[in-house]
Amino acid sequence: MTFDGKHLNASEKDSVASALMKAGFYTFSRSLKYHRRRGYRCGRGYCRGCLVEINGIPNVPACMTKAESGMKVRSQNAFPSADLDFFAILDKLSGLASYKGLYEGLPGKWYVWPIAWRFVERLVGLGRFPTGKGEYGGEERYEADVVVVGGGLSGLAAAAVLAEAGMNVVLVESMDRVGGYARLDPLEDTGLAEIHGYSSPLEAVKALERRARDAGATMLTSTDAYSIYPAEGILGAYTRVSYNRGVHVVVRAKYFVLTPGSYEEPGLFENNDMPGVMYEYGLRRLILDHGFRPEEPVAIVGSGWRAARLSSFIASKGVVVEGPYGDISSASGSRIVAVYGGRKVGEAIVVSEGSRRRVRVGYVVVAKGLYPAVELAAQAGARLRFNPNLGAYIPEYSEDLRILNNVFVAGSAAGYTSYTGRLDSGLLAAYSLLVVAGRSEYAGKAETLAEKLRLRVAGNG
Amino acid sequence: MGKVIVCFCEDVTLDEIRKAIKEGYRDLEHLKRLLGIGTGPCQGKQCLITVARILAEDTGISVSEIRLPTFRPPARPVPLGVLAGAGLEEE
Repeated sequence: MTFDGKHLNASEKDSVASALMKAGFYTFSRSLKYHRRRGYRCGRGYCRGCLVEINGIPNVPACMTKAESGMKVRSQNAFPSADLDFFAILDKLSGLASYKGLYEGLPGKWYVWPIAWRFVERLVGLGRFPTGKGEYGGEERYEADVVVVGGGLSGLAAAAVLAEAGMNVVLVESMDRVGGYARLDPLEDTGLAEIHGYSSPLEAVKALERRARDAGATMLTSTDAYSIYPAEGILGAYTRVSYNRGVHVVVRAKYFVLTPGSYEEPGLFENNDMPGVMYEYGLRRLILDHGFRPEEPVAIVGSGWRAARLSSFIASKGVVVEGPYGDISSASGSRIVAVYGGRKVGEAIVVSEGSRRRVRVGYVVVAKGLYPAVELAAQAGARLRFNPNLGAYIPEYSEDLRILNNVFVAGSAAGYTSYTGRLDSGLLAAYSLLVVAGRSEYAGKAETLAEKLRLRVAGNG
Repeated sequence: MGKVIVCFCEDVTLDEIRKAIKEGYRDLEHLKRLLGIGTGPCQGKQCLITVARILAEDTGISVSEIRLPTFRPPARPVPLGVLAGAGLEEE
């Protein structure tokens, strides 16, 4: 494949993003307003930092696209190239203009507008018009008793229970394989081991996937759910077949279980958008799925059990770990206030107790809080409520994890962030659903689990 | 001084958000319209909650009283061809 005309090699395991980074290209494109460097961040398609043009199709997320030989990859919003972009001068000059940006800078005389627009259009805007041909046609339809949105730990647990109870289950997963965040965590978790007998989060999702598949659940991978109509019993989705092919998917179901997981809270420090700064899922996926090995030290921004587990994981790969540190939103302790570098992160400025030092790092991985994915729940009609423990919003739900008559929510999207909390809430959503569907033999199990989860308040793990 | 980016899609910095709040924009919807937060390709997945927290911190309004903008389909970007081509039968 090529990137802006330069040849590079990709292996079987590589996404377009990992192939570019292995070849030393960390800046994939430039941002809209200030033409700052943009590259790989989330590793699961939502942050849209890694958008590139592939074979004439603009705005393709490089992290979600398998690298293929012969692919022509081009950077976006950059001239002449992603690494050397003349318009990056806008970033330096931004102090001279109003913070309200280009809107306020537009001259008032009407006859200047057509010329001004042309100039503005050249500066901003995502990509060029497509020159490649996309193949989008047809629709796949599914009929189910239950559709589960999200194939992470909680979604798989719900799917396994429901399918084993004889329900016709369709599970929709946006990645190319199920398992969610837990799939990328191969180290032991004491809670999961003691309560559920799984040696690690990875083993848990493997076992639950097998159970769900054996019981006949249908799993649609690389499929994004984008709309939900509970009264009509319809979920709208689309399957990414490849960078230029997609198929519309409609699932008709009586019940919905929403387990879409969470997005990650960004780190706040100067140049927090520099290539090399990424979220936890992104780094784990690079290492485990794409065989990427960080050559330079990795700094962690975050606290609590997630940062600690991440630290052990990175160290287990023989990579030097710095931190965990806080960021400028932290009240005290060692915190990263800025990162500097050329094409990617080269050093972090760490402040603690009045001292200020430079730490040489090649990557900064952010494992702060989680922002539950509430879009579908909100579309379905759920009220969103701020959860102070989590520092984010979750949908309002009853004790049986119901947000509407036929819609249930579980996992970190419901505020349960620990592995046992995710798994147990997935099971509870399934048992509650079965009770609502008239299967009263599950009422006992639902009640016991609800009691257990009541003790573990949402947002507290 | 380097920039601290809050909205990565529309390049909105922490400084810009604080300035706008100081000028009197005290609603997420207003900040969205003024600065473009949450209107880029990621549709607010990374910035909205952070902005809500900054707004609460700078104004003293409780976060639970801040209303989030309405969530509408599509929750994830969908190529228009997928929607337009859905009704076409495959050859």
